[in-house]
Amino acid sequence: MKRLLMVLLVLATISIVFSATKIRFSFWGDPSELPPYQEIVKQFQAENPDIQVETINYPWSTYFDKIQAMMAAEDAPDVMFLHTIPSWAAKGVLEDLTPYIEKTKFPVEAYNKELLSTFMYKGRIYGFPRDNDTTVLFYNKTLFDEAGIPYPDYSWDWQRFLDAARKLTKVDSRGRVTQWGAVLERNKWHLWIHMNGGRIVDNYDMPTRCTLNERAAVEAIQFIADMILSYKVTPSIAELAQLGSAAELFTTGRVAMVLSNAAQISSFLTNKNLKFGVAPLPYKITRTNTLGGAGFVMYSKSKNKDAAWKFMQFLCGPKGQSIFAKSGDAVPAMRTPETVKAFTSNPPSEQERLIFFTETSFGIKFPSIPGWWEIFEYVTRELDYVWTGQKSAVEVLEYVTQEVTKMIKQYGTW
Amino acid sequence: MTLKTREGVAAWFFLLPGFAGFLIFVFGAVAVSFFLSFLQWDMLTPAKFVGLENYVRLIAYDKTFHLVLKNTITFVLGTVPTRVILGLLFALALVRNIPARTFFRAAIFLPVIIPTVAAAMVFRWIFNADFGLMNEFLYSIGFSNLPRWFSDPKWAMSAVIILSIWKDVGFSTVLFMAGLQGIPSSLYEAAWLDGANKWKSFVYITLPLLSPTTFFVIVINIISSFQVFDQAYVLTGGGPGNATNTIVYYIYNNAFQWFRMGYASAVAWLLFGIIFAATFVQFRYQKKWVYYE
Repeated sequence: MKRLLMVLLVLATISIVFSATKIRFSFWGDPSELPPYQEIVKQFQAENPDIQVETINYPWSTYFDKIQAMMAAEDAPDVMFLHTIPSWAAKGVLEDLTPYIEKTKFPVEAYNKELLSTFMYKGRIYGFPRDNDTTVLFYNKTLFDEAGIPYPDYSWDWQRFLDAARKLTKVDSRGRVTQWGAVLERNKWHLWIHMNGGRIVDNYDMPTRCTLNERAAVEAIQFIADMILSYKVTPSIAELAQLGSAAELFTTGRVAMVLSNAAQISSFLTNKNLKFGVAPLPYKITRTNTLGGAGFVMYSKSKNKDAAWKFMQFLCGPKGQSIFAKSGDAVPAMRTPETVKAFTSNPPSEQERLIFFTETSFGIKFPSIPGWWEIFEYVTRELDYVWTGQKSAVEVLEYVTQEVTKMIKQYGTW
Repeated sequence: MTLKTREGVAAWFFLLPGFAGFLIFVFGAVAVSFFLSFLQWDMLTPAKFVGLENYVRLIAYDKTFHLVLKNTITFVLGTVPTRVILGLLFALALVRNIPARTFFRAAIFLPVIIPTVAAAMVFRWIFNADFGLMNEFLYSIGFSNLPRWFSDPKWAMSAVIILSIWKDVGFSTVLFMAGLQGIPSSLYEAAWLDGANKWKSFVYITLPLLSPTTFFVIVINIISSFQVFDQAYVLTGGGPGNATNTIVYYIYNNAFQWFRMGYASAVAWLLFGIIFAATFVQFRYQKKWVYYE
């Protein structure tokens, strides 16, 4: 009897496996980032036993060439985690989701409109953001208390930020910095330009020329350079890779302030003795933040589009968004009471978690043009010469502006 | 079938697996890349024939390419002579019966088999500008104003060169040792009987008889140095700025970061041209100094 039952069970399992529609779902991420994905797939499959989701995971560094090769072979995953959506949509590899949204009344209106617009191409929606890459100011409470400096808040402008950083920097007898006041990530230079009222290009929707050589931008870059080279309160951005990541420095208490995103909190929490707080970014002319993030799309040549859409409704709907938000690593792109609560009920405190949402509302998105990431990387690379004191901000931004304007013209528009 | 043809068929049959692999994965890929170098292709949208445009842009307009070419040549000049000379010196020491010979042999060859990734991690600590071993050492022997190595565009390439010399000198050493052991000791005995001192027998026996090995070591080193990639990929990302960006890293970025397959192929073929020319010149001039028995 027992044996018969076993056989039946095995047969039943086999028949389910063979009758199930199989879809493939790909994403990048370190092992620490995987739990929400696994949770989503698990819950979705429990609700939909007829759909089987196979997950494909590569590290960030090799993810895109693998996906691109799969697309070239016309065998890409049905649902994919991607960024710079319009550039993929323009190549015809993404499914236009607008009809699906209409047909199934997907709650698209709950998404942050500006952020969702970065997933649109020619007025159609091609995907949904997973989260927003909101940057905040993390500070080490112990180091602030030691130095007798009040915690950062909305009153902080550049000057107060710099003053605090100077007081928080410690130097040993040989002039080597043993504790940095602040650390800036290499790819966040645009924030300072925006804070100072500057712009990278003349028009973020239809750029025609680069404006990095204008006063507001030059001032902002010069300010960062001064923090590195004159005041020596922040490590050279070019040097950061040698010291370890910004999060690593902060977690080990070697830096008092870091400008970074929510994904870093989980690594901060690995140090039980670290008491840290969350504050808004300092301002100069205006408050500003990053608006942008990666998200989920459907492959235009998917063979199981209905099943893929069913999965996307879960993944990008309130349930999936809440699971990502609950991890505390991702500022949800879809704002419902459910997702907000999932995100804010994480350390350090609800009140501090809410700052992420306020900061997101100041977000400015990146220029929407083909080749933007190549342009961004080019500028980031050239700015190394400013951070290391090889060239002045004016000099670099002058030739970078000429080059970027040329690149904009060369790449054209969509 | 005669025995000869039967043996011929058998030989071809045995060669087939290797040969098929070569045809498909090496020769095939190389041929396709040549074809690609005249196209503009991102793998997704249809390819566009652009004639020589990729090459013209590379040679005439692409400032980044000129820079990475310069960097690569600096790397070749920085590593090859040192690797050859040091490799020879180490080999001379290690073929003798010095104390702890096995230990030193292993110590010199070990870096060759260490993955670059692991070596790079260690060198990142050694070359840390503030607390690294290198600067600590330089400071202790009285230097102030220490180089910031990987963080300074002026010094980053030097650090990469030092790492590469340390990593690969063992390979040249092993080749030289093999060469040295192939020189018959009777020649040295004869020279000794004729009253030649050590220096003379080194110059008139060792160097000429070692010249085929030296030639081989130089050719191999130049080729592999032109193809430098992993140091830049793992250690510096080509930075700061473009200070350690190299040709192969540029090919990688073009092909697998920006998906400009045609352009990347053009760079690859240009690199092939450079390496081919360098090797051709060496073969041309080897008659002047390489001595075959």
